[in-house]
Amino acid sequence: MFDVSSSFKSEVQGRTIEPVRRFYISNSDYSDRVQKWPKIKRDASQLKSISLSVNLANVDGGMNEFYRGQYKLKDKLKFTMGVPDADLDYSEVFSDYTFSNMTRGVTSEDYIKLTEDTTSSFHYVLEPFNGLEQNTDLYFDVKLKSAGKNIAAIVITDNILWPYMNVYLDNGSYTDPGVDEVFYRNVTSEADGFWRATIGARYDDITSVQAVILLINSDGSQAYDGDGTSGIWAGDATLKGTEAIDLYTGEISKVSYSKNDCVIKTRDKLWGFAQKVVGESDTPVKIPPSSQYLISDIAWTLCTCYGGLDSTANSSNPDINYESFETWAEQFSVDNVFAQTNYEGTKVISGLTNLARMSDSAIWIEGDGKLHFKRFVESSSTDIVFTNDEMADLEIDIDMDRLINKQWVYFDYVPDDDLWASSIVDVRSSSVNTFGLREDVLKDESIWYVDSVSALNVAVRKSYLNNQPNRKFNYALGLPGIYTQKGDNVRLVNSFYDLTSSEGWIVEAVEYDMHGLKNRFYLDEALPTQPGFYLDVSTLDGDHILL
Amino acid sequence: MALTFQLGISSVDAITILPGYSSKFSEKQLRSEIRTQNGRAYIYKWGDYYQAKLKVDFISGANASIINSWWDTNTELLFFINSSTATEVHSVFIANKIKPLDTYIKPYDNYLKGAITLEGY
Repeated sequence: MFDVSSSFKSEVQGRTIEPVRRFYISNSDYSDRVQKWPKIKRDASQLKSISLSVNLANVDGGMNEFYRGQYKLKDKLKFTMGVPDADLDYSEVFSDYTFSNMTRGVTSEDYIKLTEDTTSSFHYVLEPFNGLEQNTDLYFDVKLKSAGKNIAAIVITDNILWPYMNVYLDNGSYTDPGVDEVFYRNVTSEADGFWRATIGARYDDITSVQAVILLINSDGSQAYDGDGTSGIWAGDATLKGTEAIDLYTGEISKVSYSKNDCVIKTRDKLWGFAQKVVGESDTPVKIPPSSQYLISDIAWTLCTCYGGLDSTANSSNPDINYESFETWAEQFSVDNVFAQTNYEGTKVISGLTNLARMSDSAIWIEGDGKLHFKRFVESSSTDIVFTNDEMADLEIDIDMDRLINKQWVYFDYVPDDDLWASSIVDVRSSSVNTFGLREDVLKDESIWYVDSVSALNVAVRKSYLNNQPNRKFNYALGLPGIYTQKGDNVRLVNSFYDLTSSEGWIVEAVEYDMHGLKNRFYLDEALPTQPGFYLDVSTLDGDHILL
Repeated sequence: MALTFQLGISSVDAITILPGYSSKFSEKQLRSEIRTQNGRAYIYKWGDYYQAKLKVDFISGANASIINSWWDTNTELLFFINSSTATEVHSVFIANKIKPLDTYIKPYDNYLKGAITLEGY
């Protein structure tokens, strides 16, 4: 699920709202030039670069800069969809993980006490959520107390480093506080030593949503002295601007000019994977060179060493959603799923596709432009329920062709001899008796499991999840549910098909229709909705045969 | 209550025009509609723009030349609708596909007529 505020989720339920769709190139807004907005489809079952085409009005020649300065072709672009003017809960505005002295306790229905000043670190981080749009103003109401002194000013800046924090003075002037502009301050005296203010920040940089609030006493000193009394009580906040989700992030692949139109074609990070090759037939690349790796470690090596993506192993990685990678990797670590590879001129995209198929995983570029990894398990997020009140249509497919009740997995390959040393098979007897034998073979000379435990892990998973004719659902919606992402759990209510929200299915694919807003979501019963899948053969009814 | 109509780059140099009764003044809305299975409608408004289709005649040759040049250069204009109590102003451009004033009124050789389509931008 996209990281959006509760207000966003509420707003998109509205039946007569004015959503805001944007198209940015290098943080410049070209939305007014878009003649037809694209559809963006993201499918977990396919690993491929998503390419879009968008026609921009160029009657005035305003888009000619792209052929005059070809360097602009390297610019990043982004499509977003949002809603304006959100009312926020204070809990969505203030972050409490950056500073250890911050404590919380509700002091009234309207205000939350963020902290008392018992240390010498008396400032607060304002970090609402991703998706505040450029030039969005965020106002919020605060009550302040500072050891009996008069509160004179409030500084808002995005510069967390204290020595560089500029001071906003009582005379109304201020030095440049950093990227974000301080634009409003009005402190009034209240009873019991409190001072009250409506303060705000304008987000000039759409990539930055963090600010720091600092209280300044009327004598110019900072309002912290460890007195145990000073503090800040925050009330609800209001956005004057747009909170948006990133539906697509990519780069320009081609620009064409015709009939006063400028046509921009896009591509995402996966495109680069189709241009890069791993190994040669004379000098194959083995990941790892000897022994074995977890499946996830092989993927990491492919993406960073050969695909050219950033290798920073934390959430600041600009290319890979590291949280999703960690969660994905943990499953293979817990299950001890090890593999070996042999690449002889394999394109990175092919290597990754084979890895996804062999591990029954989904790898894709999300709207934020980062690579996401997932082996579908039940989402930890709250299920989303859609009824006929929201759905414009509902289609159901049952495909016998996908049924598998006998899954073969070959493992322990010896590339030098072109020899498969072993294989394993998992059979679902009851399914075979009911539907007949339906076999599937996982066998890949570029990536293979190194032992029976690893091979059995995927064999059991595949036959367990596919031994019945699974249903696929797809439905169209307007904006309700626009914040749904692949991997989310959705429940449907439809009296005609007797769907009563008792069952949930995982979103396998999404299609955002930025033009007509008839967004379509695809659910697959073959994706597990049980808690995390861990190999425990004692609980399964399959017959496993080590050959 | 008489209405007067003026078109110009600003109020200072605006040209007074006298549109005929068949002229249309409208507001167009851009929106998407989703009708759900229960019959509910989700209506998303993306924006709107002003449109006026003016039938005009007896425009002097000098003024016709100015208006045609605004069309030729795609000039951003202001369209004033004045009543005795208020003035309505729209930011517009001349959206005709062909030159708006191109027909002389018989038997004059210094008055033209035509149709001007104004649209907001």
